[in-house]
Amino acid sequence: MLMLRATIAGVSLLALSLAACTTPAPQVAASVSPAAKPMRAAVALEDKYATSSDGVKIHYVASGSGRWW
Amino acid sequence: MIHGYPDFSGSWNAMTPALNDAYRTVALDTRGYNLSDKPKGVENYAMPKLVGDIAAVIRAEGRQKAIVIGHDWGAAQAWAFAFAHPEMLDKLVIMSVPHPTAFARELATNPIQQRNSQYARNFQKEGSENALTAEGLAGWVKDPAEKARYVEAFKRSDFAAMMNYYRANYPSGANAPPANAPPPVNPPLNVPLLVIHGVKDQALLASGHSGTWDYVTKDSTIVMIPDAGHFVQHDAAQLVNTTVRGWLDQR
Repeated sequence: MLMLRATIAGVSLLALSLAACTTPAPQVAASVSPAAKPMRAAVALEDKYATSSDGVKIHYVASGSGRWW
Repeated sequence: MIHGYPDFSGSWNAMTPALNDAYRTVALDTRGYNLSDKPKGVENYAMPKLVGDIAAVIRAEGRQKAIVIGHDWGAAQAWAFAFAHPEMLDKLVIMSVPHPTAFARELATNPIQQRNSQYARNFQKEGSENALTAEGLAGWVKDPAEKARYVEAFKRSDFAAMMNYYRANYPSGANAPPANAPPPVNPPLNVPLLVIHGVKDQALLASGHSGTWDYVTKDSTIVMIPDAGHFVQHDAAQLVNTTVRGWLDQR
């Protein structure tokens, strides 16, 4: 019985593996967690200032050039 | 990305490299802190001024809208920015601070939150800044090298300004609403919302996030991290970074 269960589990696992090979990856799969990514060059940091409507200067550190913040 | 108390733009040093390969990241020193101006007077730390600072930075970057991420007072500012400038908000990521209406409920009905907010009432008192030191403010930072950076940033900061955030805005003590006052009404949030909270946070209890979804018309995601405290982006940096990055990429 135990062996039968193991065999079924093995078949199921193989089926899942094949499905993973043949199913197109969803778009979200392209974004891997940063921890799993290969090392990449550090992006430079920029010291910048903005002036608020009451004249107060706000310092901020900017980096990257992506489409969003 | 907007820091809280006691903190500065360096609070996002771990999150920035997790985002900036695909996103333009901007970490503010809010007024009174580190390299930003430090105007005198409680009135200069009222929420509309703080919200105006966020809008000024977005415009300085030549953007019309942004994803706003805030922790502690930065989260309070992020909520207020969302209500005041929905046209400039793309997504909202909140760390630690409940929705203002939910927090008012907690302050009115939760005796533990009432008791744990005593520190804020103490901060509101005149002269409270005299008890602060740069080293003491950095006491929560664990890594020695990081702590040294915090001490230097706090030496450049204005302690009275830090207390003025509480004097001008904290909904308790001098700012407490009258008894039996209706809860504050805020516009519904019409962008996706991610909330991240350290369950060991004693300044802001996790129960304050209950019902957050009632104030949001888009999807809301609430992530509770059991082993993290108030400074959740430090206590669970890798989990917070991957959570934020994954959540952003999926939207």
